[in-house]
Amino acid sequence: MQLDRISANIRYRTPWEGLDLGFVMARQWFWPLWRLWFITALPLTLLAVALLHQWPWAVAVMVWWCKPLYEPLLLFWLSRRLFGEELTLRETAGQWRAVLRPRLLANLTLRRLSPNRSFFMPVSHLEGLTGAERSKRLEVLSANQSVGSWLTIGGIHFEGVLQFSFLLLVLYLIPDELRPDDWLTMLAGEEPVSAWLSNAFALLAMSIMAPFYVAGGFALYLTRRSVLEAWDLELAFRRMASRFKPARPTAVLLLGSALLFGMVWPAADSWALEHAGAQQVIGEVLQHEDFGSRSTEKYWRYTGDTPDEQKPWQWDTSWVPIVAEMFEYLLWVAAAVLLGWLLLYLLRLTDWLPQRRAARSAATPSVLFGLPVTPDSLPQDVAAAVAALLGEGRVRPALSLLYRATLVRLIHDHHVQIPDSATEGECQRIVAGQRPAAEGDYFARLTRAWVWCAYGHAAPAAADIAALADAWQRLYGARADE
Amino acid sequence: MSETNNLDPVLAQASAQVRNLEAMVGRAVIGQRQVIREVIVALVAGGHVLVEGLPGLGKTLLVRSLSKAVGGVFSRVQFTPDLMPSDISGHAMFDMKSEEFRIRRGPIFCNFLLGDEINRAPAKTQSALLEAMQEEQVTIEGKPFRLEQPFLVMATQNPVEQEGTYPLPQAQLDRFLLNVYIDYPSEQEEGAMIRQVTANAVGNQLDVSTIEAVLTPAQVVEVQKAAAQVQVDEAILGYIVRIVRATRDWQGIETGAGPRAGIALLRCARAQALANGNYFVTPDDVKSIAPAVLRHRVKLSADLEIEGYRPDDVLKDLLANVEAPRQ
Repeated sequence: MQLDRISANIRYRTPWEGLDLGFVMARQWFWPLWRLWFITALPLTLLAVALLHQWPWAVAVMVWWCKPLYEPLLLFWLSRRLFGEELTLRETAGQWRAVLRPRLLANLTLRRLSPNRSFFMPVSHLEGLTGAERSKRLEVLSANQSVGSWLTIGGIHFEGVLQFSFLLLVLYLIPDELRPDDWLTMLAGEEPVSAWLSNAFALLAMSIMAPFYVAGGFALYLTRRSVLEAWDLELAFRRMASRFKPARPTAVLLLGSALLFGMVWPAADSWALEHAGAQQVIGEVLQHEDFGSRSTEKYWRYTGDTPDEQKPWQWDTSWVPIVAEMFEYLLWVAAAVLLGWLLLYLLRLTDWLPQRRAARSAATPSVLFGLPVTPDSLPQDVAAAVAALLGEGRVRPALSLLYRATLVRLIHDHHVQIPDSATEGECQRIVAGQRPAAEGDYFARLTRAWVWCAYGHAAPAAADIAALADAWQRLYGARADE
Repeated sequence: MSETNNLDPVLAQASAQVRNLEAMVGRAVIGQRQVIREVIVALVAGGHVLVEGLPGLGKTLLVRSLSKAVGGVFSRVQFTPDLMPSDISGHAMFDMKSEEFRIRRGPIFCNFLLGDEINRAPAKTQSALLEAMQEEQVTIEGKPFRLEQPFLVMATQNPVEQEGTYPLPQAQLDRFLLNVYIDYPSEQEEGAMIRQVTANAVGNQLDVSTIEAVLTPAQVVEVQKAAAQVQVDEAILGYIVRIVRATRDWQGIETGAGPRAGIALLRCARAQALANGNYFVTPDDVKSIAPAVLRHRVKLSADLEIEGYRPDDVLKDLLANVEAPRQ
């Protein structure tokens, strides 16, 4: 890194001042950064539209989720530009593979929702650190730093405001006569026009915010490093060094002359004295109020376990790691389930999976029209039982048994779904719609006889019921005997 | 099946007459089978009908056809904000020749009265009509006059253009036996209707020439008496009560139907059974006519109304959850 080529004024800054510097950079170089953002964002958006054009919401989610793909190019260009190297868009775009590749998968998955995404991006993409080195670096950089998170939170809000403002702008451009009354519903509606309009404005809002977000994070990173590594002092010393460089040969000549004339040792003594005096002077100078003041800042940082003897009293926390481990496993299981569900949902959306057959209702009724309709409630030989009842002259119980037996077969053997609220006529229509014509005709005859008996109090002739029982035996008897 | 022989001769004749009447009206009114059935049910049950539907869907044609098929007198009143009660019931006028007051009967003295856009008239005019519907008589200059039987009022309401109207209060809506909703006909029916109405026709006259009188007003009264004889099992009564009571506790219904709704539902179910050729009421008779009996007797909660639900949506849900009769 050639600090002396940096085009920003490096001095001690608070993080908020650093953010201001980033915004100044973003304003200064907004157009190249904005165009760079579209170099990756536009092709991906078009791809998403081509693949998911039936679901505008899915396009919006995909474009938003892939933000870490668009931003590294901006950072790359900024890092070069800040140190005086002027890359054209074509040159920058030519580097896209090398720039995007580092930690791409992690950036699009684990780290996608990191609030410090912008602040940490230079560590991965410029320093090229990975694994433990990266973690250690981030730990040092992020100690007592929160502005990176605020940048993300603010960015989200501004992005939303921008998107909504664009929509409102379009709305206000529509003449009063043509503007719908319920414009809020229109904006948030699921109609394709409003959904695509919303997506377009979301893309525009993202593109406007991106230069500020990337430059802000980069400037925070620079500010933090300049504090930790005292870049401002280094630059000051370099400037001093360069100022004194022309005088150095003369000094060497003088020093040589002094050695030649034996004046070295007394001079060395006087230097030693000057050095001691200088220490005192330095101490006095540092006491002066101009040389700053001491301040104490506190923040939380994990420093490892406290030795047991230093702990005054402690809870028994031996179970915590076990619970934590269980919780971790649970989280992994939940994540796997969620991922599986998302995949299934996507497959169903895209019709790549055959639609699951409507699950048969497990709750088959046990009572219908006041009649028990479970297989156990039937006699072994229904036709014989009906004949026996008819022989005793009990026509209505015989018809009731026959009707009940038919319902049991339809519900349990043929899985015909009959709701509790279905009337006899509705049952008849359901059976006619779901069973073969012969069965439908039989059930219609049986229902008619049953309705006349139940509500008209007119029992059919015994011969009619016997004929119905015979027909029942032919239709359902074989199945019942199994 | 031998049970059909059990049909009482009087009921059998009444049932055949009702079905003839339905078929005859169906000649002029293409499609709208459900509407025709419901209006005939109201006639057989001796009630009145509130019809809701957009203009031009055949309401007038339906009543005129019914009137001609029954051989009754037909009147039509267009309700307007300046319509007075006496414009409907009639009034006393001084006869200069005989030098005495003479009663001039209003259009209400008929068998079939079509009250167009009843909600456009002020409350006192509406009340005059509704009183006549309830008591089947009108009073002019303190003298009561019985209305001829059968007497069917078919009042219409336009579901759109509600500005400046006087919506009927719930208590007055309850006076109507049925609330019939006329929807647009199907494509096929609409084509057949246009063809039939415009064939050899000049101008805008409604053609009821194909309608023949299949009943007389006196026979209609006999049919009404026969309908009252249709048998009702206890289980059916229980079913009706369950349905009506369910409207009072149903989520989404602010005001449920009163006991009058149960009475109306039974009357209509009897008429429906007769029209179906039965001398007893089945649960299907009750369930099929229940929406028309109940839709104007329930008031939906404000949130459902705001969301655009109609009483039929809630009633459909309700009927799908009330247990059918147990036998």
